[in-house]
Amino acid sequence: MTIPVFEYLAVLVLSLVAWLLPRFRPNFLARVGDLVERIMHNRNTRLAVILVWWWLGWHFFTV
Amino acid sequence: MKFIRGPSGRFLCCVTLRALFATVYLVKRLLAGINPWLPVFAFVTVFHITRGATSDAVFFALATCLMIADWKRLIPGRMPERRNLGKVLVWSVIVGASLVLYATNRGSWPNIVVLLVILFFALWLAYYRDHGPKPSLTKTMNRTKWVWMTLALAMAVSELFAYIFANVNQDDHTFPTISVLVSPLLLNPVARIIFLTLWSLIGVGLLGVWRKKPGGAAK
Repeated sequence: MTIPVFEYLAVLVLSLVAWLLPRFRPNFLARVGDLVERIMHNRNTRLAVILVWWWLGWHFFTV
Repeated sequence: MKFIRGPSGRFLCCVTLRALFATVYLVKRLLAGINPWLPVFAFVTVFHITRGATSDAVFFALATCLMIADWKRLIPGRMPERRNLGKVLVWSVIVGASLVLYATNRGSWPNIVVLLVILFFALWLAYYRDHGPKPSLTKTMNRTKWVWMTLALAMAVSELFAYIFANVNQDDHTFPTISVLVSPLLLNPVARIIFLTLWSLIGVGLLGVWRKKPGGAAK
């Protein structure tokens, strides 16, 4: 396994932990849905996040 | 510091300071209400131009223009209220898009049309009036924010270093970017459907189209 692959897997595993942890320790970490709702409160961030999300799809499906 | 002594030196100092304050005031006026992501998008546009990725550069340039249009209130019409959509409609769009991607080749014009339709649909859903300031940040939410920001930054830095090392060493196998790892999988139509469904569901989650409105239920 190369170093970048190990890094990507480590981030993915930690993300999974951060996603699941609020179910067991709600006082330690908030749910991802609540964080997203907070982030998407302002139109400025909302537009930026949606554009980046779409670009990721475009990048993988067409390039 | 001899030159600032005497009446002419003080005059020169005074004029310079006034010019400086006037410039700061003008820049502040000019940038008032700017989308803080706009400089980031402009930088990413330049980055993609530098690496010769034309379609990515065009997209980020257009996205930057859209942000400027929103900032300068150049988008005509009244700002709408938040839109919620029914689950049946959203699932129909996801299934329809998946079928098109399954039946056609990657990068073909039907793929491009489907993705562009999704973009306009997503922007239509994301463009609505803001209501008041954000609720105050709790300790738990602050911790959550920092955890996810660190993870996102770690992923971005890993990808950037893989890209740089791959270019310097001309070796994609030892230093693969995420695109290099995922692209071969997406040649398989079934993998394309799974990826599209996950990507669409992330978009639905981000847009919050099924989220309950304050004081009302989602459809």
